[in-house]
Amino acid sequence: MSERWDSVRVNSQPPPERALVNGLLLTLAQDEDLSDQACRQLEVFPGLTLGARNGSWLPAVLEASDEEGAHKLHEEIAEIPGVLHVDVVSIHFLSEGIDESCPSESL
Amino acid sequence: MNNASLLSRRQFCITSALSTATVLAAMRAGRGSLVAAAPQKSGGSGIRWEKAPCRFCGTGCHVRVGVENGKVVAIEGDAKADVNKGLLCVKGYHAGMILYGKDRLTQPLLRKNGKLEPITWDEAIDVIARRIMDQPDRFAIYGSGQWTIPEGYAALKLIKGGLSNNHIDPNARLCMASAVTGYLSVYGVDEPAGCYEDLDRCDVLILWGNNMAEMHPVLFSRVIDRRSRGEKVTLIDLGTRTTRTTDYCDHKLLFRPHSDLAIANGIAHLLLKRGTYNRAFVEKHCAFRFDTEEPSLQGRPATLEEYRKSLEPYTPEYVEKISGVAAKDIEMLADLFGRPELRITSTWCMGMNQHSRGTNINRLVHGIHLLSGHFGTPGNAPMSLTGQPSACGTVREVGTLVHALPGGRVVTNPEHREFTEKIWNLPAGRINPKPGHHTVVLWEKFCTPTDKGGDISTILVQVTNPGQSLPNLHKLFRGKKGLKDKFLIVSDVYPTATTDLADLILPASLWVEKSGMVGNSERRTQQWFKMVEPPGQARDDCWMLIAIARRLYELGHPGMKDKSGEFLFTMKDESGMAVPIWDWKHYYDISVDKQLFEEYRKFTTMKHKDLAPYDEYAKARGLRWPVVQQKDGTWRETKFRFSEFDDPYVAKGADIQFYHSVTKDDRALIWFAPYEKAEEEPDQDYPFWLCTGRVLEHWHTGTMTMRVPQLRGAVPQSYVEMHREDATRLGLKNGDLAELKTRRGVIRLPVWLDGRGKPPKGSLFVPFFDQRLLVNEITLGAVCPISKEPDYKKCAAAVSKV
Repeated sequence: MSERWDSVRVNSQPPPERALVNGLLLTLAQDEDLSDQACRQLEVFPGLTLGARNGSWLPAVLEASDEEGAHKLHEEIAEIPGVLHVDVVSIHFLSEGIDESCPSESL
Repeated sequence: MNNASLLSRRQFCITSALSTATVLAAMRAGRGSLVAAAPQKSGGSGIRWEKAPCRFCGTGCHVRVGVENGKVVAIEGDAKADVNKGLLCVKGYHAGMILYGKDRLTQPLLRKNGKLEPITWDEAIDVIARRIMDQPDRFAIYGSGQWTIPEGYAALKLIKGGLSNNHIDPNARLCMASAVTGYLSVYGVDEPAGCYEDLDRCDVLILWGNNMAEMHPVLFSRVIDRRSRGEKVTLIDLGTRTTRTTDYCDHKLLFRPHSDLAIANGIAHLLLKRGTYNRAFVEKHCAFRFDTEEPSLQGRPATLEEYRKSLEPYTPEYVEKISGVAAKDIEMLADLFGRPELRITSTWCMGMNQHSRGTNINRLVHGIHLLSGHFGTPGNAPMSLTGQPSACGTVREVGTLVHALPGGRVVTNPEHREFTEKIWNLPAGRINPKPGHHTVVLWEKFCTPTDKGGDISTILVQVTNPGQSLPNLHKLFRGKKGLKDKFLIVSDVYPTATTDLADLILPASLWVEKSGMVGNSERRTQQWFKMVEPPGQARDDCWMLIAIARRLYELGHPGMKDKSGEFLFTMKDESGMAVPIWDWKHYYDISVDKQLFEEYRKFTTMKHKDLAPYDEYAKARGLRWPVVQQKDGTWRETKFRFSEFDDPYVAKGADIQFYHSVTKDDRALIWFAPYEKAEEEPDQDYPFWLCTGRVLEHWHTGTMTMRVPQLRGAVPQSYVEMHREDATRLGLKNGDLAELKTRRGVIRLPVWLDGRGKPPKGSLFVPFFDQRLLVNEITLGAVCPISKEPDYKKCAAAVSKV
């Protein structure tokens, strides 16, 4: 896979206050009907952006208002028939208090 | 943060999160589909593509680097590379971006009256040379497994051949030293016998405290891909916390920290008790060994009966009591090792190496493989994995260690010194026979006032970040603060926790801004050419070393001349004219790497680690040593060492031959080592085990990966993982700030519950990549008595809500 990093896509949705953004990797059932059905449900799942499916694996991004909300949504996604696992593959903190500068930039 | 910037950050987060997840989806779907989705591009787009090994870990993946207008603009996995066959991990895909962080160091800086001020390179080199001239025996070089092979070789030659000083050690002391002493004491020679093909051929893979899914994801994918193709591979996770690797494993065996020693003994005990060990293999190829009272590499001879008797207490029930692993699971492991038809591979990394009995646990795992005969055929292998691109090639093979000389030689051996002096054309006796200070002592001495025995006054640090990676930082690094006669020189690419205390900072070239050679975990030596210019006045580490040597020569240091009166690093062009490579303008007039490598090659045959000529590596995606020339003039690499079917140095009919045996009889040694308690265990005041480690997205201290927005965005700061029940009891919720306290200090960081890693009750895990949350301020620093490698995986800690 080749990647040029000067072509970042943007999404114009307004942000919820104090949002969390989690990268997810969903493992879908081998059964095609069941996994297709799961994909249809996931497409309309609130706060979920789906990437391109690759076999049994579906990349996704979940936005939530806080940790508790994110945990609840993870559980709901995991309970959808045809979803075998939900792995958190990245976490983004949008809350205050995170230092955005690189370490030692003060040099 | 205003609304506009929050919006922009959110959009960025979504994009990078999806990118990360997409890459991982492709990895899980299998290499084949990823390669199919990403055909290798050729010319035509204006991008020039060249090959290089990845800058990060010890896996040794090859990448194709796309260069346009003097800048790296694209990265691809190299489908021609055996190691990764087109696949890369998320760090690898972003490797090009590490060059372009906005705070690259671009000019030498000297601290004057507490403030760093720009100076010229001439001034910088002169300052260093005069410090060395003043006190040559109090000078030290601290490097790493990120030194290229020529860089490490030049550093070794400068300090040992030029200054008659052995104070040179690498950060690999902190990560691989126990693997080295394990190999040396079992086989008499360092590094694995097998290779990554063992992962393709094994029926059972046992991960000894090894989170391969995050630390060596491309290797892990080789195993997982086999499953997706319908092959049966049994994965066993032996660990102290649940990780992403655990999710894929058939058996998840959580053990009490430090009790892996007991587990290994429990397996060996059952193999002997049941008579399921491989008697023929043991009788023909092995001997037994116990440690002496003063731990050593050699130990003392023992009999099978002594060995058997020492193992008797390690019944499954006793091991369960110590380790928490069910007796039936100990029996299951022994059952597997007792089945000769199975191919079993064991892998490990920091879990076994960063262990205050690191040499012993390495010995015991090798011992199980030898005792059961699961050795020497494809798929049957004990294999340590490395964390740096050239921990093997530079540190372990070149020998950038306090006791070592190139090619497996040691300073304490007169014949080795004599040979080295001959190759370097030095007068007899130039090389000092006394080993220098190993890493922990070296930094302790540097942080101790001179009048109180602190006999190291100047350290040159290259390609590593000890201000973040040393244990017990208050004692071993911060202690330097305020000591007027100590001088810290740091060559790096970005400001780090180490440059914070530096007196002189040297801006360095990074990765494809210079040429290089490295050696990976499977004995594979790899090469690349410089592709882009370094920024500003940044220059190659190897040039810095040669320029320092030349300035010392000009100042009249006698060690900078060889026996013929020539400069130690004299290099000539094809016409035989000497080239002034110490002058940066002329450094790339010739291939300094090639000349240093060709000289180094002369050292490599003694331990049968033969290397091919430089030009062979320029053509290949790496070659595994011993690389031996064939009758037709071609060069053949060796995949399986000590095995007659593949290793040209094994005698015909020997089947297996440990030709560097400690006991000089071609036998490997099976060691007994007892279970012992950890140096510091939880108690009433500090009731938790604290373990430190890495995450997928960040490489070691995060110096490079924290400059890559996608990687930094994925995991922007450190955290503490703990069990939900422990958190609830302490009133902590996900994201709450917790205070971690040990006998060395206190740090505060957010709690992550039920995240990627899940420690059992009573355990904590903190990654060490975040310079703002230095977990090594509170780690212990106890070392293995043989390897001198510190234990970063266990100490006692207390937690409270802030």
